Amino acid sequence: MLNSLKQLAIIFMLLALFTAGCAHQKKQSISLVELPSETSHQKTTEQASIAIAETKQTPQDVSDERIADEFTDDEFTDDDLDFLDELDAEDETSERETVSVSDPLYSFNKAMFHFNDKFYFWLAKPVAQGYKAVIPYEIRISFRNFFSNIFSPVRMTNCLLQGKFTRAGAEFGRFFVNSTAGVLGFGDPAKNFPALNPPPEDMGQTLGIYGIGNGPYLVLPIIGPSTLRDALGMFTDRYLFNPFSYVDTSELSMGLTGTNYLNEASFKIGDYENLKDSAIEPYEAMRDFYIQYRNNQLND
Amino acid sequence: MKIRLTVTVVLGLLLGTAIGVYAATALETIKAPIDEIVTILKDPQYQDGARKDQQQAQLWPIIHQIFDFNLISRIALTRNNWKKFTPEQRKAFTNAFTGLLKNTYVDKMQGGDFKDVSVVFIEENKLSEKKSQVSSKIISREKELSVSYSLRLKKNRWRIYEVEVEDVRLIKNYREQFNRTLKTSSPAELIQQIEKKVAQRDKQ
Repeated sequence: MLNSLKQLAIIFMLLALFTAGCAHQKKQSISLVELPSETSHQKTTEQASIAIAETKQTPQDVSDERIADEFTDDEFTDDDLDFLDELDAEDETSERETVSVSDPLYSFNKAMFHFNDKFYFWLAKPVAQGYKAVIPYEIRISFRNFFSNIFSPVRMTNCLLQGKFTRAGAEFGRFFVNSTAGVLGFGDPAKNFPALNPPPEDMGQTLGIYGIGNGPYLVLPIIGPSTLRDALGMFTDRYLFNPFSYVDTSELSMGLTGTNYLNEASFKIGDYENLKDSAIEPYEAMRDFYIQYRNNQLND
Repeated sequence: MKIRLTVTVVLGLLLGTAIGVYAATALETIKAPIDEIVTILKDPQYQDGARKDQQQAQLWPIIHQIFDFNLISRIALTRNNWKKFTPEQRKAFTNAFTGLLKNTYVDKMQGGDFKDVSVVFIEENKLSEKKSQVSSKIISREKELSVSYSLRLKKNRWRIYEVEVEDVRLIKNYREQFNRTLKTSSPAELIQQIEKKVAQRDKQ
């Protein structure tokens, strides 16, 4: 259930990778300019036979047995092509794989991406590292539980709006148990009961359930990847439903929000670096990870 | 006595045939190697930074045994892009991309703290004659990650071609990236870029 906190703790880009917003494009949902499909799956027999011919031409390296084992053993055969076609066909038919997002604001997004990159390395990361060094793990976990618990009503509201009544009940039970037995939510005794750990719901997902598509992809300053729909959802969750926004003073409210972000960031140091290290095109990598992740959340 | 002997022989033959025909399931195929990988990662003798190379030498053959890097490379490139590559380039790409994955994921695993980590295999979901999915959980102190492997049966052997972490497909993620690069660069340049990235990490 700690995961649900993620939804709200998205100040840093790295967090956003596995956290924020909402993204999904159903086939029938509000139509948006789609990216040209990456792979044209139109396969003619001619193309296939060329491909087969090419793979057969590949010289076999027999001198080094190990290399031979690694590669010639895996030469592509008709069988392989069939298998790849099968995978491609699956991509076309399964709902899950049709997800793509339009990116008409590419230049703006890319600029934001660079800004967030610098923001992370120059400010967010050193601060989070300092915080992590000073605050013991147990306390950071308690804070995390506390914030997660406080947003339980927001998630419950979204469950209700999505008609997921069992989950709403689970959220309520969780909120009740953790607020009492968990001492105001600092503990997480509900963790041990699977029935009290529903997947987190947010307004972005609620809008998605109502048939609203992702809209254009959007990289928000500091917060990171999002889409138009997810950004709207996040605004609703954070400003209309957010319990902090009802706290007396805006200083306190901002302080709580900031602590929440910082605390969450202390658990995520290194995630963004990992993404950058693994990627040839970090911007595209993050966009795809975000869209995949949100789409799966929407369909859970 | 004679009868008993005959029965034993017949049973033995039957059993022998059964074993010969029996192909391990996808889960059975990867469970032992992955458990072994975790054991090596936990092994205190490799915690010393100087011995990381030795550790990698231990890990790599096991990984190679259960991952089909040729298929992975082909999937990452997509059909259309694959066709733009000459046979030599395909080989070079497969090598470079395998190196990138190795650098990214094997190095990262070696750098991680595996003291409290445990891997639990949950179930196998056989999708077809040749395709199967194995789901598992990696449990550590701070979090629980769901990891699922897609496997393909080829030559009576299951090998992994896609890994999903928290339902996010890691290999699929490269499709959009390579597509992007290949819009403005040639296959040779893409291979070069990947090789450069690998070399950079090796230097560190």
